[in-house]
Amino acid sequence: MEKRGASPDLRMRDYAAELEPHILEILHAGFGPKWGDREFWRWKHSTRPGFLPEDVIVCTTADKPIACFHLAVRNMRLAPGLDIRCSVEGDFAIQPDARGAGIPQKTYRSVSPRLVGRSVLVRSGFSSRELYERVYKPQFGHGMLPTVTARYRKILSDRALRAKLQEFGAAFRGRPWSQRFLKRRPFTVRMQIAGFQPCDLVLTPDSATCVTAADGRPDLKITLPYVLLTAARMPRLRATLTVAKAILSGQVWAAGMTRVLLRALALPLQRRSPAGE
Amino acid sequence: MTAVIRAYRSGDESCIVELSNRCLAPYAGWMPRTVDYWRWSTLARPGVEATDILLLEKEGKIVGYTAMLGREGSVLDFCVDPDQSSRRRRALIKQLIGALEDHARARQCDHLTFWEPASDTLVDEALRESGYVVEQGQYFSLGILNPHYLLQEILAARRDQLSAMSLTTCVFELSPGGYPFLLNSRLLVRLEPTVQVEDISDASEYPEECVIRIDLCALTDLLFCGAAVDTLLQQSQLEILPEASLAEARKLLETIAVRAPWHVPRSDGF
Repeated sequence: MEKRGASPDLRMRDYAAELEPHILEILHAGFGPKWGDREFWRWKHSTRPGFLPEDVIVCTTADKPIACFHLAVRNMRLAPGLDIRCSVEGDFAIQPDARGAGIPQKTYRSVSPRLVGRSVLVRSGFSSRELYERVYKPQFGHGMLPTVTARYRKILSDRALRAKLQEFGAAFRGRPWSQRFLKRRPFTVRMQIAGFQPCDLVLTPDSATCVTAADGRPDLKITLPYVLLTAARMPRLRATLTVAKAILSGQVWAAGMTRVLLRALALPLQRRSPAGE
Repeated sequence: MTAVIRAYRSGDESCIVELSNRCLAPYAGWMPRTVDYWRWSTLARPGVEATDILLLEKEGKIVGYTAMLGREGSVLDFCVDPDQSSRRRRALIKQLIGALEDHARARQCDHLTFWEPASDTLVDEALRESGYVVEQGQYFSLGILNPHYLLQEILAARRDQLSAMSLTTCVFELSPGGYPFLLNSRLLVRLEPTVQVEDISDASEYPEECVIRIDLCALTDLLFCGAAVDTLLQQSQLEILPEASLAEARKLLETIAVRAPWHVPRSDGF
């Protein structure tokens, strides 16, 4: 993006109640409505214990709010007996037509003396890797902390499981071999995953859909524990052990493999016959 | 006697705060809990109901606690008494995960997401065995605003480890590097008779027993991001003069670096 010159009348204002609608508007322009509503903003900022109006900075040009910046001064534990004052910062949003004028760095710099006055020793922020590389590192000079925090995620609902299976089915049907396999007629896999309602993954050359299991006989019926669905994301040894354990304990079952094999074996014949063209 | 799961009740706050602070003790980067802070960060958070806060109670003592952000299925806190034996703690962790999953299903959550330290092997194993996929780490960055008082605080906390050093004074010559604000350009560290840091940015003369030249970004890497002294020296991001003071300066820098693993619980997120 082309860098614009700094607006000569850029001003920074502390929070005041009349700015709230503008702050929300700017946040929604930056992050979309998913950022949250006024109730959420008030909880996060103005009702936070220890909140000061200077924790919310609103940038204006010609008295029009164009950007907002939020911070919270907290004690951060570095080690037993070693707590320091830290400013945690974020919710930084700029109206699209005001971007590219260096507002983040100007704001970051302008609040520094006041934070020093509040005994703040370090400034920190949560970000994505992309945001860190684009903003926090080059503009704020931050270093990325080597956190041990990991995100663990599990599907709980039938709806989410079906969406995931559908994704898997779409990837499967996209392969050339699968296209040939599905060309003559759809292929239905009934998935019976422990803890979830049985569902049918219906594959055609053009689509993959996962729906509540129907009465009809599927082409293939697979029973397995949920943990096996995650085996592909495990280290090799753990995955092998998990699969072996599930098979040996009788939690894995497949019916219809012969039909699948016959259909697969018939593929070369179909390719030679005119109907298979 | 087995532990029982129950929902939060008014009056549980101080037990929750005490347990959380004990569970988080091995890590750096979190905010020490107080009752007021916990009430705001968890109980009053939009989307959290009192029933989303589960406690694991054994013989009248709270040995586990977790809180979840309602329909989102995002786990804000997950603590199980670190003083339990490994075998007992593993069982308690699994019991609390199971209870939280049941609660999340009842709340019609599509997913359940934990943000936990992977270095807690018991929690890590329990989650993986329950079918959780490790998706990504957390990105948390930091910059040094006030090097003067930061060094003062860290040195004071580590003074016992500094007593064996022969170094008596040391000067940090600081440049901003990529950091947009430089408060002090020169700091004098006195290690004897007590640890003291002075701002000598305007001084023309100062002790030159040991001079450490570093920019604020490299100092951040050194103190907080696990960067090694030798690496910074090789990359010319750090200079130590005179050469005779290198060994003592290295010892000083290694002593003040924060070595605890960083973990910021979801409830401390911003």
